[in-house]
Amino acid sequence: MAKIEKMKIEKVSDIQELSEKIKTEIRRFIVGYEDVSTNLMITLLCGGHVLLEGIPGIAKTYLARAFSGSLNLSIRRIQATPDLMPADIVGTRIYNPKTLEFEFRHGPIFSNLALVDEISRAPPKTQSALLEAMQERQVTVDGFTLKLNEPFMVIATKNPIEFEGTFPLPEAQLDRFLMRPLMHYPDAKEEVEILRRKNVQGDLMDVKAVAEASSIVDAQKLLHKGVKVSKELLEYISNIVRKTREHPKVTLGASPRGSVSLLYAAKGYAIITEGRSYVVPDDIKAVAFNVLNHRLIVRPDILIESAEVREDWSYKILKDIIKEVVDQAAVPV
Amino acid sequence: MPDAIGLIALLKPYLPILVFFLSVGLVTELILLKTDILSRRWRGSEVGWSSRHNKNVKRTLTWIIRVYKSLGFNFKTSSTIREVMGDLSNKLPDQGENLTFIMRSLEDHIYGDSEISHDDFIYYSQWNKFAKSYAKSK
Repeated sequence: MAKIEKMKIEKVSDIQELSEKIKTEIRRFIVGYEDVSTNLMITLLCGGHVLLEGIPGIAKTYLARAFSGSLNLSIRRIQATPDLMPADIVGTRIYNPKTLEFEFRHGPIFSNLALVDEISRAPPKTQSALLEAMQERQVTVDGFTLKLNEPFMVIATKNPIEFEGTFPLPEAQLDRFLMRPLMHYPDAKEEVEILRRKNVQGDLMDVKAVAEASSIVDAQKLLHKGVKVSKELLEYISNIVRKTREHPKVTLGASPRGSVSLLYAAKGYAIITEGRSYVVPDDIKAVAFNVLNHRLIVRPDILIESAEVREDWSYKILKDIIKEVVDQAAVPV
Repeated sequence: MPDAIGLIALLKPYLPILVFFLSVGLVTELILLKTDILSRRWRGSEVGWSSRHNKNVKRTLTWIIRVYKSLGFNFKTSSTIREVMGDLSNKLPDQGENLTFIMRSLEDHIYGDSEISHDDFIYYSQWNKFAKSYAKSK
């Protein structure tokens, strides 16, 4: 890892400055997807994990690489395949004939950023290996518990249209992702800009690291201590999440973990977008879809009824449901 | 302990006073419900946002909603201050700067718990004055 100057994080505006530095670096390689970059930053600040979902070829992995490259952290990439085993992620104990002892060989999860590409291609057993790591930031191998690095973040990518050779992500796994930003096609202007850049740069990606681990850990601590959320807004969050459980089109609503994620993400949004040290209802509304969309299970008959041959057919239902839920919750003033 | 008849006998001398207070309460309630000046609208709950904050904030919020509605917008309790102010600024561009300032000040006070300064109140009263004349003209 390259040595870079440590940025002091003492107030919330410092976090906004740090975030802007990272986003500026991402912009050098990624056209558009400003909202997705913001969501990646929010997730990093909240100490969460992110699932980038979108059709093939829209720069999910490229964005994840640009983001991770802008951070001076240890990064390991895991290419999920149907024969990927838990030991390939977590690590395993290997017999060393020289010392006549078993030694633990750390898997790629022992990094700051684990980039899990095409996560749904990993079998359920392997996906489950990520559960403990994602929630408790530790892994247990052969009865030994090992702590993961700080900060630790999983950036997973998933493609929603291919089903062959894939395994659905279990709900428990999905719930552990703070956000699931959905990536759609770029607009015409953005696509031309992509071509223009590729015409000049090719696939070269020389991202400069602009933030280091200790600054990010400081920013994570400040997010929890330095951003105020009124009691009324906590009730507002709870109200929104509870309404997802009562929605007639939903068989399973968001969990209390979903409420906590909504709270954290709103705090992150307040800091990153405006350098604000308090949350307003608009912050909660802004992150609600990305935080809740993967936590809801829509009734199968509703999905079948509204099936359309379109890239985002099931997302439209989710968008409508979440919008309805947010529109029903009274804003505290 | 006196029985029911005994209790009535005991309260009988005070009956006119009780009736007087009940009547005053009823009349006040009617005024609050019916008149514009002392209407419950000032409390915010009838028009939308129910504010737990001071009188100046409530009054300003109330005028915001009244002008918002008079411009033909459909006010919902799920609307945020920012959303409403955004719509208002688009319709009343000459008030845009004032509204943006008030929006920040209200958010700082309501969600950030900061005190409203005397200078902020000047902007509030300017807006309230405008809103009153606007409402009258409609």
